[in-house]
Amino acid sequence: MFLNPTFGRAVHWLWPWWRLGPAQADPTRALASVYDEDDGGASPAAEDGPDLAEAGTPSGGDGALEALMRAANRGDEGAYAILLARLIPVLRAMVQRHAPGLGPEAREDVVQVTLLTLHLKRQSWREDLPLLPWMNAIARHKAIDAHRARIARGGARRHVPIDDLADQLADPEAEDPARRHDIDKVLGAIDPRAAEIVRGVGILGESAAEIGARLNMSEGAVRVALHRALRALDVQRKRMIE
Amino acid sequence: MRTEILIRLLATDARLRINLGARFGLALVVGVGCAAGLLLARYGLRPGLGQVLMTPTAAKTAVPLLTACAALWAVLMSARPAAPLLPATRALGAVVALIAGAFVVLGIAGGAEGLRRGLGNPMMMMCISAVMLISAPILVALIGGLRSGANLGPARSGALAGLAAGAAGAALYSLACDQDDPLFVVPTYSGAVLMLALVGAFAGQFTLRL
Repeated sequence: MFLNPTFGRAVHWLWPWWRLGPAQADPTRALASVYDEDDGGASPAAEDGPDLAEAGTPSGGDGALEALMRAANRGDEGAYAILLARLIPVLRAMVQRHAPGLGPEAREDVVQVTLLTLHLKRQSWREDLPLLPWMNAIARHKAIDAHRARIARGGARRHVPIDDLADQLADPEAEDPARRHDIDKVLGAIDPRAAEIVRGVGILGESAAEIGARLNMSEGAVRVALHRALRALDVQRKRMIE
Repeated sequence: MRTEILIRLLATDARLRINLGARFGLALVVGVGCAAGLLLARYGLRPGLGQVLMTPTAAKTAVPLLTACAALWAVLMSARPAAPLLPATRALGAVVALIAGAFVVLGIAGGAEGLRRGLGNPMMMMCISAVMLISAPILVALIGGLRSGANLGPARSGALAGLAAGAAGAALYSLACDQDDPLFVVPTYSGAVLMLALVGAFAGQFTLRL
């Protein structure tokens, strides 16, 4: 590499507009190119099951995403759920574009960390600006973090043809046994009551009111505990990536 | 964890979010309030302040205030990914260029004797420490406010917060300081502001990571 990284960072610091790559300068074009490259962009949504596929694809600049985000920032749960579902395929495409060298699981980790960051920092989006460039900037940052962590771990791995391992690969139809362990590991690192709330909302699909009744807490207290749990999960996720 | 589970969790946590600008504004008010209290308790206001503010010496307050405004604009933009940072950095650059230009012109006009008098003033270290002391609560408050932003360049955001805090602190301290020689004021206040920017960059690196 001809450019010293420290020098490069200094140049970026001094001349922030140089950081505007094509994706930030024109996110619509960048996304279009991602969809071109990734065979239509519908495939990432399909991986997520019927709930997310039903939410459709993001609108092409008619302000629908921004309207949903504005509603979400005013506390509209429904709008937020629709928004997140619509953003997932876009986010996956962004991460794929920014981190093509990462494996599918590592990319999904980056997607989840980015989602958590978007959630916890959504007040930093300026409501008069388009949503996707903001999201793209955060996704790019998280993808770079993941790349750095991978390099720091010495993760630039040798390429092995997949055919050589065909007899050792897991059945793609079977349930991933690591998933349950992953959830337990993540929840085991946070407060037990918060973990119970996360389990109730995320896995059992209970509402905050139902969990409140079960745990003898007010709905507001459940929401506060859930928010704290999400912050703790954010920290956990970052550690897992780093 | 499956991404759908995460989405359900996040959607349940949807609630009213106070805009970053409002959070940052509140942090600024708290920080400046503490700094003003510190100024009054420790240094007091200079005698005849009202009259001084009617003379060209008021530039001693106005220029740091202008710098603080430009730096605050820049720091707020730096905490919002994809927000336009360039106009704010240009405004800040213009103010810094104005200060540097004024110092050069005044230095040429004052000659070697003027520079020696300004730079050799024994009050310089005391004034630098005072500006840094008064700026400290503003810096702490600004970094606190910035933590709710999404800082893609934590050191940059911290440095800009330090610049803003230092300039605001210098503007406040100018209300107490009775040293009016521009060849003393410009290097002294600028030195303090730069040190605050370094402290801010260092603190930001650890506290503002996204």
